[in-house]
Amino acid sequence: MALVRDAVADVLRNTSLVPVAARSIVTTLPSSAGGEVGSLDVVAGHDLLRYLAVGLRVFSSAPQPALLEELHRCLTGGQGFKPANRVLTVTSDHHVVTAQETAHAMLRGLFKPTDCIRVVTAVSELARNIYLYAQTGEVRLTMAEEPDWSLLFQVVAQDRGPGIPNLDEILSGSYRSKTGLGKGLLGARTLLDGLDIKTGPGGTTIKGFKKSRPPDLSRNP
Amino acid sequence: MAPFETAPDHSPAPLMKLGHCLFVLVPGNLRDAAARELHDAVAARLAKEQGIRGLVIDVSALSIVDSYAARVLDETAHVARSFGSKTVLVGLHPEVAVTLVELGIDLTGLETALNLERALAKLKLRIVSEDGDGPGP
Repeated sequence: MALVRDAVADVLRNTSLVPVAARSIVTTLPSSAGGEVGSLDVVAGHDLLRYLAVGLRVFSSAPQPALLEELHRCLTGGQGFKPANRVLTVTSDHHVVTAQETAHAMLRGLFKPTDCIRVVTAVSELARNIYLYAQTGEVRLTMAEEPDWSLLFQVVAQDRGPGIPNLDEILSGSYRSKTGLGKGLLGARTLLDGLDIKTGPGGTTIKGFKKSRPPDLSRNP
Repeated sequence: MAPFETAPDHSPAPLMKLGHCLFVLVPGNLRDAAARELHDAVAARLAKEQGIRGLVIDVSALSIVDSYAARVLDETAHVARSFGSKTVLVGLHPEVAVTLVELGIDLTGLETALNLERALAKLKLRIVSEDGDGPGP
């Protein structure tokens, strides 16, 4: 059984760090470092990486990116984050709830609670727009790790409906639909980090994304 | 008024009358159709019963309130007002409240309270005690 703590110690031993410094860094690691390699979730891994960056700064010079990258590899057991991908067909209000639940399950524990609710709400708005305006379509949800170790959640809502004729009006906030859903699209844009809308008579494709904050390596934990 | 309330509510949630107050527990994972039914059931109940002065909607089971759900809640409050009842939401999750503000949703027709006790205080209602302070107009 390889412990994260031992793996970190191994990596540090093979660097230019003074042995005392390397030992101090390992000694001051939080208890979660006692877990098995690959046992930490992404959030715990990021937290630990933050401790390591601080340790490096305290006990040696500034953090070296290459070294941190290697430490990140050993924290995650070399596997990194396992990307997730879900495709949901939307044809009724029941599928809106399914989309909410699926998105929530993917985000829980990885994003801050408030961000979770923001993103799930945005997904809900996009899914509902499909069944209300295009009757049928598909929602694709993906979660992947970025090079800066943050997580990227993406939602793609696609339909072959009639398109959104008054998109500019909706996005300017001046439109109020009978169903009150003009707010949905505008709201989804506010709740996510970015929303790209392509619409025409042949259908609508909306891509949105939200990034988790990467571990801040410059601050104390 | 009938001695027993036998009429089916067709409501996805129980509607409980407590003195001058109607208490609604909104179930989690609310489908659009269910939200609509809940709205209709509350309206029907308010029309049927006299003397309900306050409507308390418990939304603590809702981890998500999007624009549609918010609009149904708002409309329910409007209906309640037309029957002379004030509406108070209880148990709104803080994350949900933040999200609603960012969605640009205006819930001015609704009051919110931290718990049932404060909701009743806002409605200036109190739980009926045994000293004969009975319900009814």
